[in-house]
Order: sequence, then C-alpha cells, then structure tokens
Amino acid sequence: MENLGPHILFMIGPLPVTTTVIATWLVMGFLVLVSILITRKLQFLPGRLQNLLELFVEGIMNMIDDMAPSRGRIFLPLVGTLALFIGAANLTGLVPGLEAPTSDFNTALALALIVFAAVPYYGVKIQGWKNYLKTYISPSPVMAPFHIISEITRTFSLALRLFGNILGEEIVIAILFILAPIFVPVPMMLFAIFTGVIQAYIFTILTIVYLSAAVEKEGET
Amino acid sequence: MISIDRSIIFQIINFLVLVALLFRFLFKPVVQALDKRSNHIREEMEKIEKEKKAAEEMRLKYEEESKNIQIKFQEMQELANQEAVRIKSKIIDEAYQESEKIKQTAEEKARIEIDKLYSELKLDIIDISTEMAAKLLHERIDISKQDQLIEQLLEEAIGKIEIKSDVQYGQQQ
Repeated sequence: MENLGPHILFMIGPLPVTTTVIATWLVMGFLVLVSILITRKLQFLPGRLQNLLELFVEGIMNMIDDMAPSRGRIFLPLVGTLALFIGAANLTGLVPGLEAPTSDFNTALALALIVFAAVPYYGVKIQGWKNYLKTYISPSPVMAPFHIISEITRTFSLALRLFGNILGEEIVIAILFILAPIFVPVPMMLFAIFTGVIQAYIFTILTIVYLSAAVEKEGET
Repeated sequence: MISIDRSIIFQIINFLVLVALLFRFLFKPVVQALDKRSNHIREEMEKIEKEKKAAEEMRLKYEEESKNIQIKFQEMQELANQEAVRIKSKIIDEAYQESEKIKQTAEEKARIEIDKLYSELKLDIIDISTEMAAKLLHERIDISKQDQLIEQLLEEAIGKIEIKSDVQYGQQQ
C-alpha cells in the first residue's frame, strides 16, 4: 500500500517534484503537443482529427450553454481544460510505469480548489460584487454559513470522488495483476477506460453546474 | 494514501499553465475556425437568400411584364380589329362612291349621246323635210304622184331614224 502513493523525486526550491508532477507534465506535454499538431493546419473542411476536436469543443460549449446560456465561450478554457486533463490523466494509469495523476489526492484537490476559486471569480466578474454576495444571503442571511459550508464540502466532494474512483481502479487493477497477470486485468483495464472518461465527465458537469449557479442572476431560472 | 503536501501548489500552477497553453493552442484556434466557418455559412445563406429574393422579384417583374405585354397585345389586337373594320367600311364607301361616279358618268354619257342623237335626228328630219319639200315642189304638177311621194319620203325618213337609233343603242351597249 505504501507503494501506491506518489514518491518525491527531487525538489525545486521548497516544492517537491513527485512522480505525480512528472506524470502531470507528461499529460500536459502530450495535450499541448497534440493540440499544436492538430490546430497547426486547421482546414476549412476539417479532416478526421480536426473534426473530432471541433466536436469536443462544440460539445463542451453546448453543455455550458445548456446550463449557463451564452457563457460557453467564457467558461470554455477552464471547463475544456478540466475535461481534457482529467480524461487524459485518468487514462495515464493504464500506461505501464505511469500512475494517473488524479490518483494522487493533491492533484484532485488542486483541481477542486481551482473550481472553488473559479466560482466566485466568474460570479463576481459577471454579476458584480454586490449581486454575487447577495447569493450567499439568499433567501435569508441565516443561510450564509450553510452556503459557505456547502461550497467547501462540495469542493472536497469533487476532489474525493475523483481521487477515490481512480485510486480504487488502480488498486483493483494492481491486485488483479498480482493474482493473475495475463488475461484477468484486461477487462478491468477496459472498464478503467470507461470509468476514467465518466469521472472526467462528472467532474466537468459538476464544474459547469457550480459555475452556472454562480453566474445565474437573481430572478433568472 | 490521502496526504496533502506542497506538490498541490505545483499541481495548481501546472493546471493554470495548461489552461493558458490549451487556450492559446487549442480552444482559441478551434473557436476561431468554427466562427469562420459559421460566418461563411451565414454569409452564404444570406447570399442565397438575397439571390432567392432577387430571383423572386425578377419572376414577379417578368410576370408583370408578361401581363402588360398580354394587355398591350389585346389592345393592339382590338385596335387592329377596329382599324380593319374602319378600312373595310372605307373601302366599301369608296367602292360605292366610285360605282356611283361610274354610274353617273355613264348616265351623263348616255344623256349626251341621246342628245346628240336627237340633234342628229333633228338635222336628219330637217334634211328629209327639205328634201321632201324640194321633191314636192318638183312633183307639184302631178298631185297623184304627190301623195305617193309623201308616203315614200315618210317611209325613208322613218327607216333612217330606226337605223340611227339601232346604231346608237348598239354603241351604248
């Protein structure tokens, strides 16, 4: 069980560079490289890869627009990056020798904290200070502590859900590898692809829900 | 297993850097490409709509023109018919007038001929009368012959008049 956690490889100043950080850099490098390769020659009539990418971007924008009308373009960089990063990071665990960065609680919590910060950021940006702060005392000022607690707990809930699911899968696959290394882990690995994508989807959807609630003006439904 | 350490700061920075990089290299170009395409499609649709409208206007214009031409054609046909009727009646009038003129001329000619004939006849009668008178004076001696001579001269005169009338009539015919 001790081997399941991230290992510190070296330090950059006071910050430890763990195996998770290296895996994160690899995922980042992969995503940026693929993005550059695909968007380098964007065609008016898209090819297969460009089509897939456009489908993804449009899908994310539509999901946002469905919950927060006409905010698709504003939230796209954050939400799209979350979807791509979590999806790619979840699948990294299937590459031999690599651990999914999301199986490290620090990564999951970092992502959840970014969402936690993004909610008031966009809320204030779109609604203004007064209107945004009003949402905390709505419908009554008594509710303010509950709103604050709710935001903190849902942040931890986001982080723990992602972390728990991905770590759980990795543990199951590791145990199956120990017990029957040839064929038995394969179905579980296929299942891990499915749950990895599902977890990315859930995290993304919940982020959109939190953001849309933050930018929803009073009186709007 | 669940431990929070300072690598979380790395992960936050990493993610924010990734957001910036993907915005620069992925989302911005893709959204621009999508916008460009949708603008192009919108422009094309507007263009098609305009052309459709122009074609519809042209169709209506042609229909209107066709209707006008039809009306003009009917008017012209009507005018032509009226003109034809007018010309027809004019020709008939002219022909009638011409025939009247010819008739008058013929009558005039006939009258002149008759007058001429009468004049000639008168002259002939005078000649015959003169001749008859001369013969009467010569034949005074024989009264019995006188009656016979008068009858003979009268017959000659009548015969001449008849011949002249026949000739005149034949010429007029």
